[in-house]
Amino acid sequence: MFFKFSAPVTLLGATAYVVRFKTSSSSQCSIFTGGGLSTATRFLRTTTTQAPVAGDDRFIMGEWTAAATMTTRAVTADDTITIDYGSASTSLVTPALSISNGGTYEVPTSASTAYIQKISGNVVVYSGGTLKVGSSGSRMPSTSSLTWTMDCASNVDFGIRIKAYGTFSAYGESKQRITTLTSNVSAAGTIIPVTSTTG
Amino acid sequence: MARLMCVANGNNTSSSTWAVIDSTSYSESETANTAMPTSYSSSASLGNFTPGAITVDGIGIRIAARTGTTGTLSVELYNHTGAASVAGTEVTVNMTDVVHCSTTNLEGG
Repeated sequence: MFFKFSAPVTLLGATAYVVRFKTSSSSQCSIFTGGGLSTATRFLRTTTTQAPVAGDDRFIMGEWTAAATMTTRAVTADDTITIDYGSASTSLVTPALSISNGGTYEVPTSASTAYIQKISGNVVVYSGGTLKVGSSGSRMPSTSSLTWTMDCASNVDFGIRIKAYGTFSAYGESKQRITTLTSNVSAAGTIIPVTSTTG
Repeated sequence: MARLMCVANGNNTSSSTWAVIDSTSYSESETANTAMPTSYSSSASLGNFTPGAITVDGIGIRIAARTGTTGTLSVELYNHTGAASVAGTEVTVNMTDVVHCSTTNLEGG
């Protein structure tokens, strides 16, 4: 869960900081820790931007700025050349790609495009997060493809984990699976006329 | 190896889509979970970090379990050395804004 400041803040050099948190009522929630509040999970996001490269881990989630106010974030997986993302951690606790509440990672569906995703590490979709390949209204066309590689060094090193209340969807081009004869065909017939010869 | 967080809607390959997570502040675990207090803890009881003179725009945490939907949840950045809250860093949301999660399924992210 990410809490965005009203404006960026420049910190002081040689200064120690902590992240503090509280609820207004007791017994409302708990935070993951390594064994106590001194090891509570947290991070700061800087304002330094850069494109991901091989070995990088990525986080996608909505940004909370106030009560009942979240900006959702969607990343388009537009890769068409191979970049091996992820730090190769086999732990589900430190995925190569984390998609949390308010975050979406989606593969686009442009025609005649070979999309590529290669990841060394786990992909985890948490509660409220979405991983999608196309949509019902924008399906992956037959002229395009998606090749998703989990770059495991050993069997089952990595995988895609959709956790409770997380969403995964994939839509390919609709295909006609059946057709019908347009006329009777004898047992010795060598030509079978059908309504459609395309899939 | 860097940890990047989405900062804008956009293409994965674009530099404007991602921002760097400060490595000194990064702490991740599912080993245990602790109930959030109803007042800010003493900074001495929390793990501190020294990130240097960097510019940051938000705080990420992982909720282990939402056990109630009453009231609010607040986070802030606190200057442990100077013993003062960092102005402009407190953000408050409703408990109802916190996504459904439990320690059974570890789906809080």
